[in-house]
Amino acid sequence: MATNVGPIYDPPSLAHPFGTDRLGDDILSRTMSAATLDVSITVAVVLLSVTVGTVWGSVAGFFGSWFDYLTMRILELLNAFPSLLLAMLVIAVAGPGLLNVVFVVALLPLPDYVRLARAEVRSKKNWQFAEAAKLVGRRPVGVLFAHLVPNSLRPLLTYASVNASQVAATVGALGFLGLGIQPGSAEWGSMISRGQDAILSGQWWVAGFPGLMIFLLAAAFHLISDAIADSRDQGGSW
Amino acid sequence: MITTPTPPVLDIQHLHKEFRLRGTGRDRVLTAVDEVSFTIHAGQTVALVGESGSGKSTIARCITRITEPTSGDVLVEGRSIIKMPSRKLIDIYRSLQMVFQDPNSSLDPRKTARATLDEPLRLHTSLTSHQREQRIRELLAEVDLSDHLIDRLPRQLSGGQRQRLGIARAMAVDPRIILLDEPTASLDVSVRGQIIRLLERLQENKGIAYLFISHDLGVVRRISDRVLVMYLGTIVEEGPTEEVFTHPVHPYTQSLLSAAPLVEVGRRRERVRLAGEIPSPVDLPAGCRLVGRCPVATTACATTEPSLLNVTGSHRAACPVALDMQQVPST
Ligand SMILES: Nc1ncnc2c1ncn2[C@@H]1O[C@H](COP(=O)(O)OP(=O)(O)OP(=O)(O)O)[C@@H](O)[C@H]1O
Ligand code: SF4
Ligand SMILES: [Mg+2]
Repeated sequence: MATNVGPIYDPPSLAHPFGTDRLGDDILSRTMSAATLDVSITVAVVLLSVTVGTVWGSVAGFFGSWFDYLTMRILELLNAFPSLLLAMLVIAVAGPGLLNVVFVVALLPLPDYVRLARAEVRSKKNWQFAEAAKLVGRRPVGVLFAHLVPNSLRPLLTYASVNASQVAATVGALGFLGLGIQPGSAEWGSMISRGQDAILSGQWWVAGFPGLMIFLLAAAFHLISDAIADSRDQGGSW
Repeated sequence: MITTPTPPVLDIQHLHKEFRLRGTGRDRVLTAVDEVSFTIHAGQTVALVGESGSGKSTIARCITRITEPTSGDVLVEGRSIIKMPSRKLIDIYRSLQMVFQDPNSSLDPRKTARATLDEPLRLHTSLTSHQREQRIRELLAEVDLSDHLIDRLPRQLSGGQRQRLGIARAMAVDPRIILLDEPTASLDVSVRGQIIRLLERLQENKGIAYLFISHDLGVVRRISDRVLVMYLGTIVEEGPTEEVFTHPVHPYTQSLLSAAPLVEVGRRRERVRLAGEIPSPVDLPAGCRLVGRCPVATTACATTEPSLLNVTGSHRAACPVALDMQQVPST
């Protein structure tokens, strides 16, 4: 981690464009190194959630019967808990740490992905191209994963890009609450948390710039989702 | 017409399909296909005609087991497929293929022409990827699609091109019989003729048998060897196409074949028309299904369900009344 030690609580200047914190560390470089972590956690969480949710939901929607029934009951159960509270509880019990954060945050949007994938597959499983695939020689699992799932991905990916901005904010919030990766590692949420006292004493830049980054990351994912929605309107292959 | 002593490529025995309709109160039973039997021999074209709702598509879907029949048997080249576990059906689909009515919904919208044709080749043959590529190009050529369409998605093809691709997909595994469920109904009138000519040519070159479902009686008369006339889930008349078209016996066939609903019945030269609408296939009454619409019905018609009776040779009709009239010598 490149920490460029300078004077403590130095306001933004040419030498330290984001200023320095109470240890004299350069906030720009801390923010930048935190970016890698925050972005990778967000991407990992979304990929994990969308993958598990798609497989789970599409299998439930395609095969139905008891597995589908069980799925719906589990979703209802998960829905009954306020999501962030659930995440805080689990991390408080399981302890902070990179993997715990990824798994817990991935659990939050999972019901949405399962429900979306299930609905998409259910609406398409009697389409003729699924019947045609059977005649081509596909087994049911092949019909599902070679034909129905690829044709169901668009709404899932559109939702994923919207969801990514929420995930970025949740990861930040957990860091802020001290429930992030581990105290001390450069991560936007925990940087805000450590800079919050400084706001009252006038050093807004300590918490302000990491906060801005969370906002920008969330905004970036929103732009991506808009772009996907646009390409859909124009009949793009997604 | 080719007739061979070998077992028929397709042998349908007492095929029966009921749909249970859940409604308020008791479940009602819709009989879509009622004890239908027929055979198709190698290289033969058998046409299935009849009003909308008579059960033509249901027959095709039961033969492929896209829909599970209620009872009866289907033999493909002598092998019964009805009790076959579904994972074994892949062998049957090497001999039996289907072309769907609407290529817009039967082609995967996210698969290019290449991927669509590669799939059956990958699943059914052990060709290398290079050989498959060659075969894909052959298949495209066989259905008159030019090479440069190979990377197109279905939505980048015209309706006629899509149906050619659907036909190529069915042909990919060199089947012995193809079920064609109104293969031109969704197409522009201008391209229908081309698709029919393509189907005729493929049959000539490869000796494939067709079950040809159509509302277009002109095309049926031109391309089919035999014709089966369906009414409310049963075959009411069957026979060599020319014979049925020139000497229709069953009152229903007569009304179906006449451009106007005015027809001649037997030798009595009486002009008749069917009264009323096609009744619902739910909770069918005893007796002939045409009772109530039939101009020559007798009291017996309402109680006994007529079975197929020989007219001449392999021409059969399910109407004893009309058959009796046939036997009246002309005066
Ligand atoms: N899945 C189903 N559930 C209930 N009833 C069905 C189902 N599929 C078909 N039917 C009924 O079975 C009967 C036969 O339908 P089918 O589609 O086989 O007719 P068709 O002869 O192919 O008609 P068309 O010429 O319009 O294609 C109809 O009364 C139809 O409503
Ligand atoms: S059996 Fe009777 S009702 Fe049926 S078609 Fe013949 S004459 Fe008409
Ligand atoms: Mg039909």
